[in-house]
Amino acid sequence: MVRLYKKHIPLKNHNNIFLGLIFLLMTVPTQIAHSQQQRFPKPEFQTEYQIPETERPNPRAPFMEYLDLFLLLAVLSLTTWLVLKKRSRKWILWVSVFSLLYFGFYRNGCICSVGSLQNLTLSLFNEGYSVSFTVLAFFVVPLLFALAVGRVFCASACPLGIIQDLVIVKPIKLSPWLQKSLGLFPFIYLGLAVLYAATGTDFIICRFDPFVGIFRMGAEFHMIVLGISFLLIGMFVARPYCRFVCPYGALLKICSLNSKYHLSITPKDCINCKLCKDSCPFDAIDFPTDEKENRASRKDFWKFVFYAALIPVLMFVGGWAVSGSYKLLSSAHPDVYLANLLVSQPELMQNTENLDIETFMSSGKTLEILVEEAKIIQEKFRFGGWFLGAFIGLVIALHLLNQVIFRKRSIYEANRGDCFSCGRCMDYCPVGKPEHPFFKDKPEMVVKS
Amino acid sequence: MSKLQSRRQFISGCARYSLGLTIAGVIGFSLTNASSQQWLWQIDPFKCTNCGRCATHCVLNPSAVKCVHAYALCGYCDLCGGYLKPGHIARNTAAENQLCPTAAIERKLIEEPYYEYHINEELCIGCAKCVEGCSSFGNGSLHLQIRQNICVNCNECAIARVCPSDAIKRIPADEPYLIKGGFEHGQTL
Amino acid sequence: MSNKVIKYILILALAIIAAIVIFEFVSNNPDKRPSNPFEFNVDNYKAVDETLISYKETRQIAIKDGIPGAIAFSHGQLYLLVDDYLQVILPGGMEVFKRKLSEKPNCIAVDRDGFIFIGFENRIRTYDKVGIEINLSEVASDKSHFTALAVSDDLIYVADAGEKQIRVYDKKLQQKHVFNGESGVSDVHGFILPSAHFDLAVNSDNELWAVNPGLHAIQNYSETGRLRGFWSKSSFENDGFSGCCNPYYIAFLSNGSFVTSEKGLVRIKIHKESGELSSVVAAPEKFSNGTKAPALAVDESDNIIALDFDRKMIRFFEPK
Ligand code: SF4
Ligand code: SF4
Ligand code: SF4
Ligand code: SF4
Ligand code: SF4
Repeated sequence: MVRLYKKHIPLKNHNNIFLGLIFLLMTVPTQIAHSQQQRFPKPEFQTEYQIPETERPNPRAPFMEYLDLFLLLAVLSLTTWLVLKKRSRKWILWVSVFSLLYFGFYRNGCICSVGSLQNLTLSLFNEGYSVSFTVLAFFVVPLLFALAVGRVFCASACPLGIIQDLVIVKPIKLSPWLQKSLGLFPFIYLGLAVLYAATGTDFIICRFDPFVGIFRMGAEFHMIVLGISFLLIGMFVARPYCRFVCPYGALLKICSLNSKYHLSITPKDCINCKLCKDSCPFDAIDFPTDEKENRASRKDFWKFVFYAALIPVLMFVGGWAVSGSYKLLSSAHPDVYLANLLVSQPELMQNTENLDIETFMSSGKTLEILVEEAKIIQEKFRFGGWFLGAFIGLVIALHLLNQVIFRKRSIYEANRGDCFSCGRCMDYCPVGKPEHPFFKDKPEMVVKS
Repeated sequence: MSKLQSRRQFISGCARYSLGLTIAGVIGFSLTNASSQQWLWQIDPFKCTNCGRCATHCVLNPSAVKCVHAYALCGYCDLCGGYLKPGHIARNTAAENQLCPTAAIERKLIEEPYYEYHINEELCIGCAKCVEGCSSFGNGSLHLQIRQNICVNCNECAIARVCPSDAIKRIPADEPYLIKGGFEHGQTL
Repeated sequence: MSNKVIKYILILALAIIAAIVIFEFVSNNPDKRPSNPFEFNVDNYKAVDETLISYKETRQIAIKDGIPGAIAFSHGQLYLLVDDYLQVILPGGMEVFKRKLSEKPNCIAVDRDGFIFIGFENRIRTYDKVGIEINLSEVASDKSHFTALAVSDDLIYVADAGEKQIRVYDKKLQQKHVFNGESGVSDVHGFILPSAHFDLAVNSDNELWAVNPGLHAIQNYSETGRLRGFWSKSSFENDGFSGCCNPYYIAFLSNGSFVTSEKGLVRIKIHKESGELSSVVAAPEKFSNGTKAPALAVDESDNIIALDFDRKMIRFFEPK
């Protein structure tokens, strides 16, 4: 469960000295009462003994968090330059190794942009929870970069992505159908994460983060196994977490699809040499469409209308279904779970073996209050479920609609949504490299960049 | 530039601006509830029920939670409920008499009959056994705190998720501890 | 590696991931979490042999509103301090009267003639039989923190935990003596109060006995502060006191035996005048796992009346 902290409400108006004075006056008696509360006969030491202060070792200095932010900005800017101008996979790789070491192993993977979306959600839905500016920036900056130049964050700043990128051994091609369908999951996961964060239930992204245990070199055993399993898959299906799980990736994808300047495989004009065809381990390169497909697509008009009409239907059905399963969804909240448990099995209340039940019973809170609180949470789930379901319905409907929209393409180019801007494919493109063996017997094709 | 291309560019431009506006909206909205304050996790010692999960559920091993001593509340007792095992054989520093599973509490004679108890945080695993002993037989001067120099400040504290008494909460980073004696029960700093 | 092998590896890894996610989700539910491996366990000392128990609980009176503070028994009536009220009730529960006091009271005693003495933070007030204030002492000291009061035929003894002293007043509330329990004998220290609590009581022979909790001792003093006798016993077993502030409350039976209550391992026992354990009134299992010791009073037929702060009730124990 997410713990909340009541914020200090600062006196906004600095001129209002009176308010300040009243405030001061009001705190004085409480301080007196408080010192009385703490009054206690000290042992009267005959020796010189001084009662020591309790040690309070300091946390990491707050400005260090601004350093983190600065480094994030620096890494993203540098990568942008490397992707668009320098066009160097090698350099991108080195920058990404730095990020992995710094954000991953040194900073222990927290705070990361991926998780920050939950903090933001919770703060939007809960007055009592506020985010710091740095957390907000960690969430927003990569998205803005994606809107401008694509997913450079994934290429060289995200420790989760990089660790997967480094273990790619023999990437296999997935069928486009499978790839696209699995690609729906991040959106569903995103919706769930938002719902769970908004209701203050849990930060599921953090809880199921497969790699954070590796960064910290220690976690519960099963979480380490989870990370290793992902890396194992990642040897053959490149960046499985990024492509089929990462909820922040879903947001980046939307932004990147509409990016202004995106990495291009070729520095000038694609000469359709097909050399880059298999270079992308993430199947993120779109191939030119052929004439046959082109002509067939005209017949799809009615299909298009059908799927377009499906959007509201799926949204409604989704909302209805998810909202209807609010009981199941809300049982992840410990209070709801406990309330359900004690209502269905009242004999457990006498169970002194179980810590949680025992603590609840001796807390002085009655079952009625707990049930009441649980009801409120469940209501939130029922309400939020409509939005989550509608969102999932929309995503699925758009996915179907996309299948019948046909885009004519005459060159090989990176799919702006899926491309991580890793830069691998650029190395394969012969354009602008006259010494490239591809031009050995076709000198007329040399294109100068 | 073909007509098709320019139409695509136009649509994508529109989408880009609306996305940009959305992001700006989110920023603006969250700024109303954002602060320059950074946040840390800490244990409210008055809520903690010494369940032992602080030792077992922190992502770090050993846990970032340590026992701390609010000396000002301590009775400096010879017969310390936090130091000696129930049913101890003798009142001395022999291991078999110590309550702490890692022998992390150091006992030092100040003068008859007063003893100072000091926690060796290198050894302490934050199990709260001594805290329970001290709060039931003594004054409750021993209590748990998250040591901020060790804690990695997880986005969601793994102990907070399982704490049965909701004792772990976020506090502003400029006052990183909730040491007993410095604030009262129920008071939010 | 052939594609087939890769496929198997992938399927295996996927299965592992699914299993772990489900396990993690389910294992963290409140009823599945492990119990405390580091439990502080005093269960061994909780059960008490039936034959040792000489009393049985007969009934209770719940205290509905307010936080109870202290209890006394005299003249067939129970005197209770609840928040800043003095409440007098009959043992059956019927209220005789209830009076609001001018400040928050700490302790109470009633003398032979029915006058009520109430100890506040650092002074005493006297009330007549119906609770009208008739007298008020000087403020003892800024550091004072009165926690217990006992009256003999002509003196009032006050335990001042703040100053670690016993103050002796006459019935006109004039301070006669004050002493800190130091005896001159090197191994008997003055009052060692590990916590802000200090109790004393007067027996039917008008003798003052005070608890020295740091030593697990009960000590007898003359009115001028001369130590006349004491006994002590530290033990987790029934025959002694454990922790660092016990016994927390004491009272006397008509035959001069001590009734004691303890915190931590909450229990009520009877010790002979010599200090030897005589019997157990209420074993720890009778109390919630709280930390507070019950306050004590004894009625004219040696029934023991305990004020249970955790459950907010008055509990009556009668000899078996
Ligand atoms: S998809 Fe997610 S995990 Fe992968 S690199 Fe991008 S943000 Fe990181
Ligand atoms: S930069 Fe090229 S290789 Fe890398 S993800 Fe994008 S399309 Fe694939
Ligand atoms: S988990 Fe909570 S109750 Fe348990 S020891 Fe830690 S803070 Fe205390
Ligand atoms: S008993 Fe547990 S909490 Fe106390 S000092 Fe030892 S290890 Fe730390
Ligand atoms: S925030 Fe993380 S490191 Fe700190 S105490 Fe909680 S689980 Fe441990």
